[in-house]
Amino acid sequence: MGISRRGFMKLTGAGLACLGLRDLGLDPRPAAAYATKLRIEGAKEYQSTCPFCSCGCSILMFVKDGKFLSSEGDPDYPVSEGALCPKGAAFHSMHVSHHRILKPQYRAPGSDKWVEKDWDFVLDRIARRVKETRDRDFIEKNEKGQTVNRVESIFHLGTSQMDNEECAVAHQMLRGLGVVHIDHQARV
Amino acid sequence: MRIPPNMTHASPDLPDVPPPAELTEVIDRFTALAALRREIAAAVPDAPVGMTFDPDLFAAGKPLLADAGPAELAPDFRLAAGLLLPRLAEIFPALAKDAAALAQAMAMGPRLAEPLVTALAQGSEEDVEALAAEMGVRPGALVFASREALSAVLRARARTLSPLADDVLWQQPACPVCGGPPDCGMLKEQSEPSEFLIAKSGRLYLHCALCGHQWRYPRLKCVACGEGEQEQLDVLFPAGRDRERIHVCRSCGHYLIVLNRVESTRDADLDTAPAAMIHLDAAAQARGYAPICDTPWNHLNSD
Repeated sequence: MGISRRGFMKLTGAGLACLGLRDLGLDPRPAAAYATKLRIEGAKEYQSTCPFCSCGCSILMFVKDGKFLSSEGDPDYPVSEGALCPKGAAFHSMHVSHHRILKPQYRAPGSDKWVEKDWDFVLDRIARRVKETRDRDFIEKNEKGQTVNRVESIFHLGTSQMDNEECAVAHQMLRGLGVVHIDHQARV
Repeated sequence: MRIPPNMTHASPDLPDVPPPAELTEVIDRFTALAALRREIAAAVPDAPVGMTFDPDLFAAGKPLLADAGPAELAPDFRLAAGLLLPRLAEIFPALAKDAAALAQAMAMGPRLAEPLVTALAQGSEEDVEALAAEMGVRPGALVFASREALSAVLRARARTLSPLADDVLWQQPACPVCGGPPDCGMLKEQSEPSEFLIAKSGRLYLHCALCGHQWRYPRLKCVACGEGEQEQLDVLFPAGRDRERIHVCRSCGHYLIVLNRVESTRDADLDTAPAAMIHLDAAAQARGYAPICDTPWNHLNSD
């Protein structure tokens, strides 16, 4: 005979008759009455990823009623084992900071004021500026007459949170434009 | 900047709140029972030397004591029962008659130890009822008392086997030492020696209802059914008692009581902690959830 795990589970589970508090001469009613007075609150814990560096540490977010209340390192994430650097530990502070910019801001040339704009405006303007710059500075051949098809006046700074697929798409777009100055920002 | 005198680096974020006064009697009885169980376990010999340990089988989910048989456990079981039964009635007078009858039956028929251990290990209701009838005790009382004796034996085994139960290899909901179920959990942070890192996240440790061993388990995973979908897992906690949590699973309808000891300097005794949180059992059961491990203190509705 072996002590089967299933056997023990059955023993202490619902299989065998288990004595209750009353059988042991104890009154369960005070505990039940106390429980009815408690205000039980519900919350959820979600796994997320730290946005700061290429380590991409896993973070647990404590959410109640749809509101992000606090965060902590994910103890089951094998790389960091729940530890966070000071930036990662400030994950929740960054989320709720009043300094956080939630909508696109635009400062017109020569202006000293930021103006809130919608995404259509800023994406359209970025696209137009990229095209203008490329059309103006595109280099088809170098000094030796060799075909290079490049733009040296546009620089792309990526993010350490880009995964392989995002990097591939960004790289294809930038190479298609002729951009050669590209930094992935994959560093701590 | 002036630091307030009551603020220290070790100040916990969450206050430690004493157990409700309404639970004093329940806590006192089960604390006495836990103390008796430890005392008996101390009198039981360590695990026999020469046990074979296969890391591959262990990593595949086979507990360390999976191959222990009744012939090996029965002598220690008899010893533990002999020490336990005369004192059980001191803690639970309502069990006096059953404890006396069981002690007499064990003294008259030592051969009963092996089938009793087998019935317990296999969870055989029919065998337990037959043995209870033979001994003249109530089946529930037989299960309760003999499980306590077996628990003391397994606790003595765990004393020497626990170091083999590697948390990295074991990610199971059952105890890596004896295969028992968890009766509660605890969140506790790992110490982080680096001055550049912060580690206050709570690892989930499960506490074995039988041998008392504690082992790690993924935090965002149901202990009962293995559900890992985060939308199906909720955390309930009583307002004002922020260190007490109920982890519930909407998929299978089970709950686990969890004590949050993150950044707490107080020692946690998980042998007695569940009995001090039966208000959480009542709250969870009132919401339709069932306990993962059936224990006397979470049997709140028995008549």
